[in-house]
Amino acid sequence: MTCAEFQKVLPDVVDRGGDAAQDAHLRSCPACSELLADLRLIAQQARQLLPTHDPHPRVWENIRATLEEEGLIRSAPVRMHHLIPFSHAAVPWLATAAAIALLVFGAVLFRRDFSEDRLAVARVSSSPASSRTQELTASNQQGGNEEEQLIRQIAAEHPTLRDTYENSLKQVDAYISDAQRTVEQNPYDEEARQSLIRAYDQKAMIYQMGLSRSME
Amino acid sequence: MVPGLSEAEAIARAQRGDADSFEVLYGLHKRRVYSLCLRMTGNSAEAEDLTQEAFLQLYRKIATFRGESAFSTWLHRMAVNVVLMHLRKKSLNQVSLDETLEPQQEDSPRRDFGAEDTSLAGSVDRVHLERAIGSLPPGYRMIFVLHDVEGFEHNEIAEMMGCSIGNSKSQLHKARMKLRDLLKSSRAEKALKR
Repeated sequence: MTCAEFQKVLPDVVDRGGDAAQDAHLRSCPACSELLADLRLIAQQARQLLPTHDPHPRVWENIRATLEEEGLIRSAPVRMHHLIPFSHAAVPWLATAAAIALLVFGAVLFRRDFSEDRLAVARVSSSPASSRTQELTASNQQGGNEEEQLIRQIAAEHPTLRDTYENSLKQVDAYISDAQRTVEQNPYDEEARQSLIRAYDQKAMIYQMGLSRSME
Repeated sequence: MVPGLSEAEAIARAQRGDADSFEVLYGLHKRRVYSLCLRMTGNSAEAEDLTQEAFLQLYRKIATFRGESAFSTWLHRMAVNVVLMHLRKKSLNQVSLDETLEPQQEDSPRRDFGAEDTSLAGSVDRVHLERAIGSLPPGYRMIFVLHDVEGFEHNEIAEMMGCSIGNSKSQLHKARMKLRDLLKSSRAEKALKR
């Protein structure tokens, strides 16, 4: 079997494996063998890509408004996704959680315009971005208890939404771990750092929505 | 106290118009739907609009959901159809996929692996793969996302896109080959910068 003959059937071999003749060709041809390995790796990695991007909260607000206009849902209190000012007379842990969320995740000030394409490469110098990701990582490690308290508070006020917020936080934490690992392996990769910052951005949004809910 | 609402309960309540249940369903599925829309369009603004449209269609039709298939499958199909309709309106079709192909990629077997250690093994991670997918021509990106990322079979893709199964397989192969080139180029660029 020649390389040309093998590569004619390559799409099927990638997904289903080869027959005896095709396997024999692979044993004797490093080029085709490598090509097959690369294509299988790409397909395998693609299957492991998780949904990692959350839409802006305005998407839900628009959906909700439209559904209410159409009479498909009953009216409910307005959901606020912007920051809610709170006083120190509120539950102390809420103040702590909000402060951490605001100070740490609000450090991503250059990402506040959600009309930008999230996949665009940010032109950020390496030193400031590196410092920022280190700050976010350190602060994220301190946020675990506040996460649990947030979920407990939401469960107390809105039990039907507890699982939603808990799952969302678990997913974004997994995304953060993955992005951190990528940054550690590719410390000079700006896009990797931007992925990590986007992950923290998502966590900040979840916090904001959760805090809004728990204050209702 | 109800510790949490299951998806089945949320669907039942949403079918009766309960606002919280709609939000539960949105929360459960928004990421997958939005990620799908974003990967297929490569544009966040379009992806947001399409996500919104997909969920609006879902809620308008939720009363018709009888549980014959998994709810997530039903929603997923709906989202894919919303994206495909949108892309058709933008005149994205199979012909344009062929027009993006460079002829020399089809004509000869690939033996141009002159550099040492040209295999991609060990150098494909999520960030680079996502970036490469975003760089694919739109037609290739659509097929690749539907098959390799979202798990649709070729017969399903052919039905959704109005093409043949053979065409779907062919486009997928071209997409994977293009991704291989993009990932190798990216790796070479990184090596030069060091």
